[in-house]
Amino acid sequence: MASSMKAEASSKVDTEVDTFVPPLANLDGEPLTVLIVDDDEADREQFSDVIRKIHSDIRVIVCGSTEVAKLMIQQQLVDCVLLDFHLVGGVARGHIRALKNAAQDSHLPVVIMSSYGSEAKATNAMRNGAADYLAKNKVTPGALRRAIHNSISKADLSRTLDTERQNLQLAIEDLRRKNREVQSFYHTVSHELKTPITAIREFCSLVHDEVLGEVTEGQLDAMQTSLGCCDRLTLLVNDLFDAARVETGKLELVAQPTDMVELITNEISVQRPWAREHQLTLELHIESDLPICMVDGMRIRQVLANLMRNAVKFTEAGGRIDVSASYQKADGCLEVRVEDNGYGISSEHAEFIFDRLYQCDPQGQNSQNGMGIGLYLCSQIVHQHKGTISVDAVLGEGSVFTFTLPV
Amino acid sequence: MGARVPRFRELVDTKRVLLVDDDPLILRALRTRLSYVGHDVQAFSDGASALCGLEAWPADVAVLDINMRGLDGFQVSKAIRERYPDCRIVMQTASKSDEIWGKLSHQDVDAVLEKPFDSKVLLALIENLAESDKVDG
Repeated sequence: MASSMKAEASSKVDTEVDTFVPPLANLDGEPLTVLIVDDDEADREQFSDVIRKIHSDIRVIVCGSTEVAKLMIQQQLVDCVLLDFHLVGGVARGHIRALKNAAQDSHLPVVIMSSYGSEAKATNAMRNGAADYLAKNKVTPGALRRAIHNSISKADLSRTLDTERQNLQLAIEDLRRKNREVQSFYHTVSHELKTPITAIREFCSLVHDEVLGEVTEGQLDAMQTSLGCCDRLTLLVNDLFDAARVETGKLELVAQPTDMVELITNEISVQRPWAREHQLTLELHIESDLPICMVDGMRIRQVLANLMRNAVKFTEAGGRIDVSASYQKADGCLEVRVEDNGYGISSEHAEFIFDRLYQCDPQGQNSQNGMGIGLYLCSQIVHQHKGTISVDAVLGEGSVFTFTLPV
Repeated sequence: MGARVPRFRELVDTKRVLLVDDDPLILRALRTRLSYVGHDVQAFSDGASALCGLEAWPADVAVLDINMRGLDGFQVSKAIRERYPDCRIVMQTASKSDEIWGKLSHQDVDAVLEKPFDSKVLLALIENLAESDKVDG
């Protein structure tokens, strides 16, 4: 059962040691009950007297063995136990635990009292669960009231700590459960979106490949565009799912030695038709002797694809995109830049552009806004590679996205 | 304007292909594609019917969806492996869950396709599996 020290009383301990008035009531508003367990009747009497001198309201009960003490503790509320060291024969742990079990309170304060004080005994008693240790020949009203007061305060603090720990554990469990729910939700959304995309893609493909009959050049072109849209939709769904992985700490990299010239060239060749479709000039400037990097190739392609998609989306027809890759010997890293002369980004947006779900609205192009996940994913992937990512942009003039990867 | 693509009709070797997917649209689209190039196709929307169908019509290749009501793709593939060890198995899934992909890595299947996929990849896969059958045989 818990006992309480009122804040008022506690502050008095700190500032007015000599005039300290010990706690008069436990949490239930009852006067404190102190149990003295000692087989020496003279000692029991002496300590009872000392306690009464501390305050006449403190209730003192006594017994001569731990067995009787357990019964007493089971029958009534005890706020503090003074336990004779001699009784426990130096093996205090079992006795102290038995008393705490009897009280059904692991924080029940037990103060060990010994005829012959020594530091080793004190340390041993504290290690075995005692709240404090007192040498009998040094017991004064002041020392005893401090021991009782401190041990009860310590027990109260421990109980509070326990409660807080339990609350924290519950909060952690709750967060874990929510994490699982989020993961499961994204998984369901991803699955539910990809199934119809599969059907749409395949029917477009059947028309495109003339499986369902001959098509005109115009229809063929329309189907090609639809197929491209299906593929972009798939990438967006995958981004959504990856964002959930990041949130739940499950985005794992599979790093392998990677030929970066090949990786960048391949990804740009995938992106080139889309840039052409938007009537943009796409130039690739790549050093032919880039070092091999330890990266997750699929993820780095995902970063490049995301930056390219943004460059295409936010650059007007007739504009240009320059992709360059170089080895920065001084920094020991590979630097990849995606530069466009599109709408650009204002400095107020640039600061937050890699944040999750952040939206900016370049020149009112609402319909062009994405989910606010692509750049967030880019930054997460690059940072997981221990690289850096940044943007340098001027509104109305264009943007330069740069990411580096350690070599 | 995109370049005109050739019609995908040249077929090297007709195969009996079992399709199992509980999404009728995907089933119809894939069946159309595979039949068009000359494969002999049987399509089922659930695993139990597919296993029944196989009794009278042993397939060379089974293309199985994983998330299905009733018997799922894992159960169907296990049953096919036990009863028809020569049948090649291609799994297809829209799922990205670690649980599914973890199970897939321990499953005795010949190939896995993540939806959405280009059905021409599936055609090539069926052809390759048939070729490897010839080599094996």
